[in-house]
Order: sequence, then structure tokens, then C-alpha cells
Amino acid sequence: MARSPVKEGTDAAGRIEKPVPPPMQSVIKGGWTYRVEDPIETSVSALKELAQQIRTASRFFAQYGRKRFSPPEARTREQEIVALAAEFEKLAAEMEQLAAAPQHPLPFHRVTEIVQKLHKLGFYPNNLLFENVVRAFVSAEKFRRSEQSAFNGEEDHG
Amino acid sequence: MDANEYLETLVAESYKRELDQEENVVRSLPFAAAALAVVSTIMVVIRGYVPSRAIGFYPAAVWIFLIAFGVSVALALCFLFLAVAAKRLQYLSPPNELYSYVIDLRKYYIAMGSSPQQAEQQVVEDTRSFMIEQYTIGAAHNQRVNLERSRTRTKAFATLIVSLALAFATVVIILAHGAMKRGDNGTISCQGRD
Repeated sequence: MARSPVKEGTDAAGRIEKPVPPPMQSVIKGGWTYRVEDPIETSVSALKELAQQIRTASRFFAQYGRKRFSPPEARTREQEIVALAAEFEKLAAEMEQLAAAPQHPLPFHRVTEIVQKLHKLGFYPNNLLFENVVRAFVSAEKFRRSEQSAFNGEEDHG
Repeated sequence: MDANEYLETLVAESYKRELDQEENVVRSLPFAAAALAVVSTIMVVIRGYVPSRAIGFYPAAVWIFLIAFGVSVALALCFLFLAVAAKRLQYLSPPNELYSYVIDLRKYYIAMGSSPQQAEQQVVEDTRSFMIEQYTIGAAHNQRVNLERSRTRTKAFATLIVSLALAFATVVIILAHGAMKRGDNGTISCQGRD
């Protein structure tokens, strides 16, 4: 997919964009392991973390209108929210595959789609965790670009 | 001190506490090692006294205790393994990325027309909010991991104590049986000698 010719740090109109903060650093620690995750793995972990939070808090959703949900309706709504958490987990699994295919763009649009669906169901995921996902995606995209340019540079020299 | 500064102090403290707690789980492992060493020594000592066939009350009792002991040691080792198994922890962003972020923020505010003093103030505010978020996410996540580890460690220690109790109980049974049968020093003999 062709990359937009926009200069890094500016939006489509050429205005300077506010810098996106870096995501949290994920470290796998314990047993014989001590390893820092790379940015793609960090995005995957951030997605899983968000999915876990959605599962845990799936009972807490907003209801609109005068009538309260009956218990079966509430359960159905909860299951719909859990299904969307599973979508995040599925996306995380796909992201793991994407690490091996740097030419494919990271599917951030799917994250926003799922979040919009959650909002429609009256569920608002933890904002901090969602922001961490956004930051992780930005960081992963930068990482992929730098790897790609390093690869291209090597090809030019080769 | 403004509210954000106060909040930052609180969440940073909580984040550091969780990091310490994470190390505490590992630091408490020598206790487990010592308990395992004690039970191993006991087993080596009583090895020669274990009856070969589980027929009769005394041999059956010894073998039941030994089997229960083996199961509890296996469980303890299993829990210990789970307590130290690899888990994902959330740490603050790497220093080089934090540095780049602050530099980019400063450039951004200068480019937006802020004076250097204003820009510096805005950078401090943004960075503080960002760090509060990182401390909060990190503390919450690491606390969950630590709780899980601590629970597993508690189970491991509980089963180790059970193992110790079973090992001692086996020793007591063997000693009591020996004393009753042989009447060492002529003091505890119940059956007497012909």
C-alpha cells in the first residue's frame, strides 16, 4: 500500500501534529526469561490488556431510555460486549502474524471500529488502556517504517 | 503543590511499591529452598527405616504418610514454578523515547507560537499528565501480576509446611514404632522383650 507523502510530524494539511507519547514498555520477566517486547509485540499486549479489561468490566454498561434491561437482556448485552473483547483478541492474534509481513499496514481502523461498536452498546473501555493501544500502534508503525527504510538502504548498498 | 503534582507523587509511590513487591516474591524463595532441604534430609535419614511391604498397621501408616508427603512436595514444586514463571510486566517507557517525546513536545509548542517560558510550562504539564498515566497503568497491571504470584507463592508455602509436617509425622511414627518394639533404654517399651 502506498504511503501518504505527508512529512512525519505533520498532518495532511501540513500543520504540525502534537507528538504522540511513547507506549508503556512491556517486559517479560520470570523463570529464565527477561525480555523486552518489540513495538509490534507491545501493540499485541496492549490489545490483549484492553480485551481483558473489557471482559472484566463487561457487566458495567450504560442503558439509554426509561426502561431498565431485564436480566436476560442485560446478559445478552454483556455477551455482545464480551464478543467484541474477543474481536480484540482475534485482532491481537492477527497482529502477531503481521509482524512477519511488514508491507501490510497495521489495522488500527479495526480498533476504532470495535471501540465504536462498544460505544453503541453503551460500554466505554478504560481510557488509559485505549490510549496505550493507540500509542503502541503509533510506535509500532514508526518501528516498521524504520525497519523498512533500513532494509531499503541495505538493498541500495547491496 | 497542585493536584497533578500530588497525584503524581501518590501513583509513583504505588508504582514503586509494586516493583518492590515483584522482587519480594523472588526474595522469599530461599525459605522454600530451606524447607525442601530439610525434608530431603529427613527422607535420607529415614530411608533405611521404611518398611518394604505395606502389610499391617505400621507399614501402611508409614506408606500413607510417605505418599501424602510425595504428593505435597510435588504440589509445592508446581506452585513454586508457577510463582516464578514468566509474566508480562508494564514498565515506564524507555528513557530514550521519553527524551525524544519531551524534545518533540518542546518543538511543537515553539512552532505553535508559545514563548520559551510558556512552552516549558506546557511541556512540564503534558509530561506530568503522561507520567501519571504511565504510573497508573503500570501500577494496576503489575499489581494484578503480583497478586497472582503472591497467591501462588502462598499456596506453595502452605503445601511446603504440610510436607514438613508429614515428614515429621513419618519420623515420629518410625521412632515410636522402633521404641515400642525394641524398648530402647528400657523406657518406652510397651511390648517388652522375651
